Amino acid sequence: MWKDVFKPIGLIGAMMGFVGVVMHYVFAGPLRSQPEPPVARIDKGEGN
Amino acid sequence: MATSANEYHHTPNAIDRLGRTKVYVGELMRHPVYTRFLHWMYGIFFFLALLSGFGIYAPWIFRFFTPFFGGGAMTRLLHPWFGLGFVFFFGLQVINWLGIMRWTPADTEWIKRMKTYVEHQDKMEPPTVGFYNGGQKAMFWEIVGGSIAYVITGFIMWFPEIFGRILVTISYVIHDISALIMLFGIFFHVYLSTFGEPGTIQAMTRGTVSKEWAWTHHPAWYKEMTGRDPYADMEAERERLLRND
Repeated sequence: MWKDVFKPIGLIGAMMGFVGVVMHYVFAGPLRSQPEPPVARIDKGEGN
Repeated sequence: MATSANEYHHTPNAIDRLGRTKVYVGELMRHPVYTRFLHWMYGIFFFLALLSGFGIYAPWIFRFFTPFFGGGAMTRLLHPWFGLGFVFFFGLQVINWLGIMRWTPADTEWIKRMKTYVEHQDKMEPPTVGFYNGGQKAMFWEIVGGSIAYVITGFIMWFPEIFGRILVTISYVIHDISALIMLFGIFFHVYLSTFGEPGTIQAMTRGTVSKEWAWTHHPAWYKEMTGRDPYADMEAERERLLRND
């Protein structure tokens, strides 16, 4: 049971950590040291 | 105010004397040579143990790792030695960091407000965050617990003829769960020390951090090191930047 079912599930669960950090970087971005340089423009997905 | 800023005391030793830490103007000393040496030693052993462990844990996926260690049998032979190397150097780091990793009420508060940290709701950490925040300490103590589990279960699996089949089977499961938790955590550790919080990895390479990094991520430590108000210094720097525009 452990070998056939939980080992693959556990591995997928651990790999979710990788997915999580990639998604965090994409959606939240890095937390830069303050003060950040002044913001020039924020693209909210409306295109150019 | 109660902070998590536990003091770090370190007397330079023979390892420190092998290297040097150059602190430029605008930087603060973060980690001495000894701390950095230990970090990279157990880091190397961690990844050797991890990669060889992958080949043992799931050979149907990670069979391609084993030739790097000399084949399947050699991988099984080397894996416990890599693990012992990791535990040895990490154990020295535990002794080195015992003071600054002590859990405080400020760390419990940090854990409670972790959502604001993840979502970057605050651009600077609260004034209670010292040398390490609650998340870093939690991860450290998880690795301590995991390492103890590795050693106990590892020895049982290494000498199955002494401990018997049931104990060995239980050990396999505990060993695997500890490894999966640590694998999950290592992604966050690597991410937050590189892409997630730029300027962090410099602390473990050159041993220093910028003052901006220090007041942003560890305000109580910045105050302890400089005697200055981290928030006032950040505001002064912000105004200076705006004036330059």
